[in-house]
Amino acid sequence: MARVVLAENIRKNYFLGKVVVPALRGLSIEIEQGEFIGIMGPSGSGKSTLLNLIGMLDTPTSGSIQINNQKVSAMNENERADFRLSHLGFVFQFFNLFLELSAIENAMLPMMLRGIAHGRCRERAKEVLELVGLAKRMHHKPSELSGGEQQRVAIARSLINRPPLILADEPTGNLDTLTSLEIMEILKQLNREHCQTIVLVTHEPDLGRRADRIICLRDGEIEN
Amino acid sequence: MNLRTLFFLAIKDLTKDVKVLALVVMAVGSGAMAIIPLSGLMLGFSNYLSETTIDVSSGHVILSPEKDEKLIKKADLIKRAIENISGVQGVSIRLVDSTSAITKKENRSVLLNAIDAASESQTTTLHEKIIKGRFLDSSRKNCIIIGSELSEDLKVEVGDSIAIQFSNAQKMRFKISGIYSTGFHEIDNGIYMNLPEYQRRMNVVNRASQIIVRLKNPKLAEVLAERLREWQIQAKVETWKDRLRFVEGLQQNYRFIQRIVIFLSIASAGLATGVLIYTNIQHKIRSIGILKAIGTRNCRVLQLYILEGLLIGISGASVGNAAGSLICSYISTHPLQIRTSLSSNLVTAEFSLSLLILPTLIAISVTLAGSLYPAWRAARTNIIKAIWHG
Repeated sequence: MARVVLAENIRKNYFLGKVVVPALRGLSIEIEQGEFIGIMGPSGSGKSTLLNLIGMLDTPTSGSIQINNQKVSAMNENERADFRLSHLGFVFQFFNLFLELSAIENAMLPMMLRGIAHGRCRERAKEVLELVGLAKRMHHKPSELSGGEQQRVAIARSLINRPPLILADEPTGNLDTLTSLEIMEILKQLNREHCQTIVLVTHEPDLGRRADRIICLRDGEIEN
Repeated sequence: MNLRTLFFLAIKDLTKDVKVLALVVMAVGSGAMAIIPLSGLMLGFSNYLSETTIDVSSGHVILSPEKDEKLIKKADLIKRAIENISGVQGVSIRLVDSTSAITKKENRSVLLNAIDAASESQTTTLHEKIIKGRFLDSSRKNCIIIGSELSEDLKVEVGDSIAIQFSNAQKMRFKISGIYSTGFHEIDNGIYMNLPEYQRRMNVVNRASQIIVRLKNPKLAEVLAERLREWQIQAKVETWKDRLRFVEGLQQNYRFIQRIVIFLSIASAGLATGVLIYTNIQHKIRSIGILKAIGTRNCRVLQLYILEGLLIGISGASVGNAAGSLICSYISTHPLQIRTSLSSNLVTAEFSLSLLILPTLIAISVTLAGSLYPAWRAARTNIIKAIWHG
């Protein structure tokens, strides 16, 4: 299997005035293509910080990160933005859809940002919305969709550019149990049927157990 | 991100609250709208002043006595010479005298112009300004025409007689054959009489206070003036533009004040645009974080919100231009009574496409300026703070 993520000895410090607060303390991980990784740990263990660094939303204080064999930790801001657009998909806890856009417009947005023709974006958005079971709701605005449906749109949006890696930060944190299981099933299905690499941050053991491999963090270090 | 996507996002963002957008566009538009009828009226008013002054008073080229001289000498000779120049429509000699108009109850100082009725009719449109009675006729003696304002002040009508005391103290009675109205206070407080009669009574021959020339093509006024200067006539030669410098000064002062007022009104609209975009950004800080997280460069976020400002500016300018043009068109068919120290007349607004340039430029530049800071703030948004704490 090809390696999708290689993080070596990454450290992340935050500063509270002059006080240094270490969030990650020299952590190394490797993720291969097609893996479904669950990152778990108590609050403040560094789960989201790790996801932000892999997702290139933040830069490590030291250490290096490679995604698809490209050293992303050395990239400048514009290069990171371009890389995120073409190589990464994000699913957030609060869905974070654009309220003024319909489901299909939300889903097609990352593809439009790449400058691809509107018609092709729309066709691909229909495909991914069908994949997440939302074909009949594609013209509805987020305010007309349930929480589960909104999260499905967010998953469709993360898939539209066929990224090698999807990062999901507590994607079920705002949903009821039944809907959470549905969302997890969609992610699992994508991983199983499309060999989609997924990194999922969760603090719910029931959901974490559905991952192929669990990385447990505590105080900025890998526990197991 | 290509331009189409930028437009897509900007329009979606702007139109999510149509009422607020409409209010801001109207605010920008109202500033732009005010400029067009004001400028149109100013253009109409200055054109009116110019045309009326040329028509009833100055002609296109004016000869007046040189400094230290009271009258132009060899006036008849000069008149005939100018009449022979091709393109000249008419030449009129005028003798001007400070007189007193006396009735039983009133005694007023007035400026009297002695004119040759036939020459004057070819040179000015004074004969068309008669509102009562008839214009001067060289065959009818002891007749004058007087301005409407003077006739009201003296309480005289056509057919009445008034006494005129000339500058040499000679006093004579004249019958009013006509009353004219030009709209110019100075002219409408004056008196006109036949030139030969004045020359005979005052014993002034071959002299003129003014020689005015009307051209078939007004654009050739400067060419004729230059030619006359080359003749080395003992007279000062000016064009109507020289005479109307005060109108130009008036226009410049007006434009200056107008621009300040307009700039301030549109600047406040620009500020409203800035506040709209800034508030919008504050409310959707998480969306901006997401936009950046999924791969939008900072410069594209900056462009997006500048584009929103630009679209508001263009919409405001379009609405303002359309409304302003309509008002301008209404005023052009429904003249306004404008009273100034110079005149009191019905003035129409004159519309030209060039009137749209200034409001468009101001509206767009001010709304663009208003959007710069919020756009910069949006571009500098920290992704993590925006998504998790937005």
